[in-house]
Amino acid sequence: MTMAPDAADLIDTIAKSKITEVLTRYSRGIDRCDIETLTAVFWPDATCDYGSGSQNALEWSRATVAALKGMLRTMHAVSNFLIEVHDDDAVAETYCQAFHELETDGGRREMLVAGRYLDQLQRREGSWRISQRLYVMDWNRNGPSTCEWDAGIYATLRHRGDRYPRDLSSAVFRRDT
Amino acid sequence: MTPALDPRLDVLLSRQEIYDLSCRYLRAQDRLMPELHRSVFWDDATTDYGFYRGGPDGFVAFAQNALKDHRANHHMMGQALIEMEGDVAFGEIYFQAFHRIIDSGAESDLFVSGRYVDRYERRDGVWKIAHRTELVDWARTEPAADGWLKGAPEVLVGARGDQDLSNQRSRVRTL
Repeated sequence: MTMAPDAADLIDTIAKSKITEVLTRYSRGIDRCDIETLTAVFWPDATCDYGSGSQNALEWSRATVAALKGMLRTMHAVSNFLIEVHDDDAVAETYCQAFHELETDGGRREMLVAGRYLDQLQRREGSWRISQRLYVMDWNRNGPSTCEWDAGIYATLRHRGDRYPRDLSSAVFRRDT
Repeated sequence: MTPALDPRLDVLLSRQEIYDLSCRYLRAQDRLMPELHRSVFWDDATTDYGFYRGGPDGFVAFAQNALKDHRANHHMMGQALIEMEGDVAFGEIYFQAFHRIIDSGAESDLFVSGRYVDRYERRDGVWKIAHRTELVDWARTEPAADGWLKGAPEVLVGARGDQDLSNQRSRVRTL
């Protein structure tokens, strides 16, 4: 016997879909170093704490994008979007595995950092954004960079990721939602 | 009684509910939460992990016991391909699992990557896993390489069970 889905199920699923998009746009803002995309995922009074104390999320965004621009590249892959919606409030746990390549005095290094974002989100005037973010780190690996760019199959993969607005995806997505 | 929605929405809602099952399953493995782990399976579900074949009670006991000997775990979910046939659905769920283990006395990182091949059943309006097989596509073990962490004591590190912040809702509410 199938129980038909009702309007409450639909409202819940639509909210989860919108929240998943917000959580995904965060990675896009970070990896493309696109401050407009990044700040659009937070409410202006949002706070975040990555382990060094709580601060305003917009101030954190500006400082972080400036720091990330000093790295060669980053890629934040997000998954496991576990979301619970309660009217205009939601909580979410999102997994993240982030690759970073950077130049150091000792040569190019790579850092793989995996953890989870523990978020509170609020719906204000119909839009979902993060109101509070905590980052919990689960594991990391570090070593000399193993990236290859110009040998073998890599030489044929000529479209390379870049920051906004040089990246090929830049013209595709809105930045203000 | 709420009126029934367009049947096409059933696919959308069911896929969300089925996706959430795997989020909870992976969360339960990483945070060592056996009740949550068990809750995503029907009582008569079957599983096949190679190491273990059998029902959900035995699987959860087996898996939680194996995982607790690890220092930490982090199961990333990948693409979730879910196809419905009425009250039965089939899924292929990619995963990439990190396990910090002690290998011959040394800290090592074991990566296991693969897919869950699932059958889900809807009973009285609720979707749960009726069968899960775990297929492994690749694995590799590396010596630990997180010396950076030891030099960064301010970083908040994940924990298991109630120790992890994600299990402290009342605290998160007022942070």
